[in-house]
Amino acid sequence: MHYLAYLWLALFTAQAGAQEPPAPAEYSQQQIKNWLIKADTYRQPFKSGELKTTLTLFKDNKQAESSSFFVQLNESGDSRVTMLDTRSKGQKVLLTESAMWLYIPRTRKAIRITPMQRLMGQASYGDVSSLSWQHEYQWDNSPVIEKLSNNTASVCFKVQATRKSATYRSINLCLEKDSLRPVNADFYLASGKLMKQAVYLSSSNSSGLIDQTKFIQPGKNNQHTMMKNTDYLEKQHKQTIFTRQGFIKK
Amino acid sequence: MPIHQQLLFLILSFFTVLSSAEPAFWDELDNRYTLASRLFTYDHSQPRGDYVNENAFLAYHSYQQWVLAWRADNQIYQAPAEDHLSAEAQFELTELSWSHSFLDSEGDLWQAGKFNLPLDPGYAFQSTAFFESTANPFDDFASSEGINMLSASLWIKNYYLTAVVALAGQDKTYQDKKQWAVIVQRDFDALSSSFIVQQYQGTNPGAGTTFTYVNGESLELHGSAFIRKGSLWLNGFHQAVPAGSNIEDSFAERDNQWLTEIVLGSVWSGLSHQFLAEWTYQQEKLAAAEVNSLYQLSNGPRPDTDNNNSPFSEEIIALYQQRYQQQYLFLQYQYSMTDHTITANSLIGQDQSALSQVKYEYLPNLDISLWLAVELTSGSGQTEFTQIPWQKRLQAGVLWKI
Repeated sequence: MHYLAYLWLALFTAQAGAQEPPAPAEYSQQQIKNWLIKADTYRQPFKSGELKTTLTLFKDNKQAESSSFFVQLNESGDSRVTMLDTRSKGQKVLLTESAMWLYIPRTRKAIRITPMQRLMGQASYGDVSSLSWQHEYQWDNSPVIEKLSNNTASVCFKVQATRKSATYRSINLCLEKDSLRPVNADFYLASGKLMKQAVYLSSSNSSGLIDQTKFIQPGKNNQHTMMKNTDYLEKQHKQTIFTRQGFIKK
Repeated sequence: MPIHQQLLFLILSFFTVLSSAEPAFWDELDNRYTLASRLFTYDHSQPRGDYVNENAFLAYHSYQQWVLAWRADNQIYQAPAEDHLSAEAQFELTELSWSHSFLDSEGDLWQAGKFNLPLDPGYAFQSTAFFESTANPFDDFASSEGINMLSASLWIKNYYLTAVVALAGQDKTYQDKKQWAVIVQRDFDALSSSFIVQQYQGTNPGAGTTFTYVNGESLELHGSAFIRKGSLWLNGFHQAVPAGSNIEDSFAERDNQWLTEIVLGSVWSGLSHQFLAEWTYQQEKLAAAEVNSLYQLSNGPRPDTDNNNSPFSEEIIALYQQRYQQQYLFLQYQYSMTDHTITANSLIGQDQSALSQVKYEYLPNLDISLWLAVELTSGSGQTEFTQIPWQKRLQAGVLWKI
């Protein structure tokens, strides 16, 4: 009997002494959308323009191979990627709201591909062709979690694909709380499986712009792929280059 | 013009243009070259005219709106009943085309010359590929020679309209026929579609459609269908068989029918795996009963390819392009790692004969590719793919992109 009394007392004390978790802050879809719009400006500093992307695969921290791409983007979130290296020179990828197309010069033909199809190392076609989240993803209303790491507060939340051509079904995204600068991201398949992770970095001369992304794939700890963007240029493009008939043009 | 004269002309013209070029010319000039070589060994029951070595040099040049693509091939072969090797060379002008947009919005596109105008989404089978070279998933170096034509395209809101006139047909049956077509392309969300009306000179017009659809992140579906009254291809067989025979009636019946051709396919992509399946049905081609009747007409078992005198003789020469059965299935599995790719292909006819290939490719760097492939034909003695002049073939190749 004594033991029961002690147990009851202990439970009561523990419950009374426990601190209530802080109530989750209320966020609206529009607020998170604004976060994504702000976060996108760190990776894509213009609405319409072009840039050069270099993907480098590292094995055991040694550079294994490297490939370059010319990327053109418009304000609707469409993009055209032209391969610049010898093996795939002249190949082009078009990413529109509903589809991804690959043009292979040898066959003179554009075929429709799925976002899952791999480009090089840990990077997919979608990683190079899409530098914005605002057009492709929206917050899934799950809790926004605040984290503190290296004296930097960040907000982490989950977004889900709204575009059929989006490369990933969902992303766990962490942004710096004050600046909304992207810190890292976990990319998931429709099955819920973690496909890859990304860490967002800036070169010393990039004026805060995120010009480097490090991709890591679970289970491949000795490999990573670095994506580096350079030669940013704000520019308006003809809309026809973002159509499946016109993107194969020079 | 002989091959060596064509080559000389091409090389001289090219260097003449280069020597008079302004510095800006070099910035806009895009040159790509591919050098490929492969060796073969065969395992078959009797000596045939086998290729032992093939070398190909493929070149692509583009400057502003001009494209020039050509290839030179050299083959070394062992002729039947000869103990020495022989060689032959070919030159092919694959493409020479000019394209231009006259509108400021670039909402139009005009193309003239020799080129391909791809429409059909099929990987192995195509029912609307009237203006493009035949797909061949077994051979990365198959010819992609274009057709002399003129096309005009216009974007009107969400529609892309194309009118095209060509001086030749794409395949062997129609290569002497002029042709024209009107094509409308439209995308509906995740569905991309095309509609085509096409006619060869002196034949009935036909109509068809194509589609591609992506579902989720891994699954692609595609297909095409075309319908036309009568068939020149079937006429060839019709004229080869005796009047009054059962099979002659069967062919005559189809002369005035609307004949359908359908292709359905799907690609599934995973992180490292890709699986492709494609099926085709061509009503103008031969049903199993018709193939059997033709065997009987040719007096018993079919003779070997080398001295073939069956009604199929012409078709067997260009077997892949002229597949004569009504139904085929194509299956492909591909596994890719960083520098390695393994591909397995199988083309299966309705007579259950098959042409299969397993290919391993190694990519040591961005410019070089090495591969090893085993190809096998299977089926009983009277089935289609045992008529290919090898039963088992081993292929080793190297490709260098310059």
